[in-house]
Amino acid sequence: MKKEKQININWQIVGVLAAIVVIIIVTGIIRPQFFKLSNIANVVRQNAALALVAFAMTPIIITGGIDLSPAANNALVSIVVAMLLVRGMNVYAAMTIGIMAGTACGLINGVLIGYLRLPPFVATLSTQCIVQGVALTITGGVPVTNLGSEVYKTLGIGSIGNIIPVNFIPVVVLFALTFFLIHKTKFGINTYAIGGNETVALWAGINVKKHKLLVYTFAGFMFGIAGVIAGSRVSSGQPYLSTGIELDAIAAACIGGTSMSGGKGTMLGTLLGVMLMGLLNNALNLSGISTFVQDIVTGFVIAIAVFVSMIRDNKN
Amino acid sequence: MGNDVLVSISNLRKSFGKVLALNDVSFELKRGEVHALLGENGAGKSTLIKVISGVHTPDEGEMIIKGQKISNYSPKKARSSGVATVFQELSLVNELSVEDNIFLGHEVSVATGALNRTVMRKKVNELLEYVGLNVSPQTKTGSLGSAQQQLVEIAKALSTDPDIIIMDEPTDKLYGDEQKQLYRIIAKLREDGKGIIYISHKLEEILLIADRVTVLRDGKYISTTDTKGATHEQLISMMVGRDIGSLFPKEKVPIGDDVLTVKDLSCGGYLQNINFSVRSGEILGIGGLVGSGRTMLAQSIAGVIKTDAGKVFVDGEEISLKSPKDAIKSRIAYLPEDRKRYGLVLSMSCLDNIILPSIPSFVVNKKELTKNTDGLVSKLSIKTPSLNTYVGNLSGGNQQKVVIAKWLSTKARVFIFDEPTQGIDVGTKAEIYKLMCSLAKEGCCILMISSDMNELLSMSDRVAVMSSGQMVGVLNHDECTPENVLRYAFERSDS
Repeated sequence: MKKEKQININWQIVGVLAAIVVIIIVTGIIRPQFFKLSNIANVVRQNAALALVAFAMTPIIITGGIDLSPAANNALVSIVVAMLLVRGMNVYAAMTIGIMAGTACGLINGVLIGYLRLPPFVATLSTQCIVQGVALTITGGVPVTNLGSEVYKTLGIGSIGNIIPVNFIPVVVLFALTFFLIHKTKFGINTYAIGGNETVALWAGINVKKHKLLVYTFAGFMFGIAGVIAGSRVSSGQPYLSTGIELDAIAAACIGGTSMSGGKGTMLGTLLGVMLMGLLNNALNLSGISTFVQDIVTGFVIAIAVFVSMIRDNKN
Repeated sequence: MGNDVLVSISNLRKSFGKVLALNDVSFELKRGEVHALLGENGAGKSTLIKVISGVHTPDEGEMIIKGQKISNYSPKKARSSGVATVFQELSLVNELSVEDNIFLGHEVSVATGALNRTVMRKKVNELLEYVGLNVSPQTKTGSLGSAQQQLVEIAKALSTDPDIIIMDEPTDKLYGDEQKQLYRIIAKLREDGKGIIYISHKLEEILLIADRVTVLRDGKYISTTDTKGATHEQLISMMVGRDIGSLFPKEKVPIGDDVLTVKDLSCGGYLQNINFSVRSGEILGIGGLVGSGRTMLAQSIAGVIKTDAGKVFVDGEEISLKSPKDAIKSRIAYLPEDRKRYGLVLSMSCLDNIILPSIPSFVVNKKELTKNTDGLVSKLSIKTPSLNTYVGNLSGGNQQKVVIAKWLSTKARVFIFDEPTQGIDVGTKAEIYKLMCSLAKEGCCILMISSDMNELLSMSDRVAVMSSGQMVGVLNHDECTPENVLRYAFERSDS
């Protein structure tokens, strides 16, 4: 075979990058405060939980699945942590137990989807219903407040050296972890294989059931951390925390080139998708455009991005 | 005479890509005639009836239906010209009533657009009486048995008042009295002056009910004869080709001990008490008709299908086959037919496809794996710009080579090839045969399922023939003739 240096340019990623650059330049010109460090830190803080949910959603979508339960998962985790803090538990222990609760929710999804073969849409729809219900029941629908933990508050709104938001650290670390899992390990190749052609994956000796269990459990773990981040930002346990975050995460993955039919997608694409959505929102906010109109704009951006990636797929 | 001919086809040619499915085929169907089509798998029967029913457009040739030369043909036009097909795979919607199924796609409506139930009900009752099915038109189709569903299927075909009725292996799922009922319907249709094109693998049946039979082989027209006075042997010898090219580079390889042994393997009604073994260096061909259980056998050895009973041994040791993973651990490789659906993940690169069953460690070092895989790529001369190319972008032959590379990298000893050269050009075919020989030389054993008679006879050391889920015969090399293979293949299905 002739050795040729192949440069694979991912046009989807180039396109999203270009869109991000345009947003930055245009907003920077009409609203100079966009470049203020405090504004940028704000964008990071607002989107940290979304980023983690989107990172975990990407492998799920690559296997050809979907997860509708992250919002309920976030809510439950924030309530568990808040209730433990109110009772005076050590903040690190409380957060660990909260994340474990989130992981357990993911494990249930994994059993339903991997071993009982429920369609992911239905399985996670039902768990999101159940978990949301549990969150409402144990709080009576009232937020849990007065947590009395400075550490928890700092995680939510604090920053390192007055510049870098604290919750930027878990975003970076967990992006690196997910990137490694998906792009550098057997786990990652198996994830793509299952989404690309489940029969071929099974016949190549992959334990498809177990793999799906792991993917959804890992997602539960990531959603749990996102729940801690979202809960610490409001320093309370909220039964309606993160409402709609699953759709934003799916949108970010799609914008980044993850195919809803499975088998395709990259972590870098999802990261850029999150950035695009976060910056776009911020830009519209700064420009004084109402949140109602923002929804319209976001909808168009998603449709355009997916349309562009379909054109690309058809060319190949 | 002119008015008597319903279908007249001359010099028909149809190719799919590089594969010539019909080559200079002529065919004629008269009023009041049952005309059987006979041939091996892939002889072109299905393509021919799909041309007649408007699904495929021929590349060349002339078709005259009821005296009218046909152009711009389509399934819709076929229906209005009086062609109806009774499909092999039942095409009924289980959730709908018998009545709704029969009129699906050509419902009768009144002026407002609502269904005209009165007219439909009257017609349905006539049709059900004609085919001798005694159920209410409102019965849910799914609640009927498969024989009754077959009758609904026929009633559906007759609902358009066709003159030309195509039946594709209609008795496949019918037994005893059910078959006789179908023969009675066919006799009635013939008396009513309809023409019937009848595809069947059952020679007895063809001799019993058909007036004439046309034999196809490798897409070519062989001959048409009256069934009156024709024999089994005659029909078989017409189906068999004589010219085996030098395409097959079969090498003599020393044969060693048993590597794979299968004992009393059974699976539902599909496989019954299969016993055989394959030795190192040996290529065991598996012949038989489509649906005879060949792929089921392969898949049960590959751990894809769970069996009810039986043992499988590799190198004398019994192995457990709960999943494909177990089979791979026991060094069994299964290369399925239809590689696009079952063999490859088209959205992944060549490299990822090749390493999929044999990734050595949790952390994947692609650079190193690329280096290790390069050797295989050049050994198999896979033509790809790079290992990072999506496998979906390669040609069929190169895709099949990627499948082979994938299983070579598992260091398997037992290779099961299911239709290894289907849809592959001649040059690549020869390369794949050479590769099979070199595997045999290295002491592997090979099972090769093939519907290509020349390939089966030329490449195999022995040929096992399956029919109706049983291994009805194992032919030693000197007994491997087309006649013997076909005799076994047709043996049980005649009963």
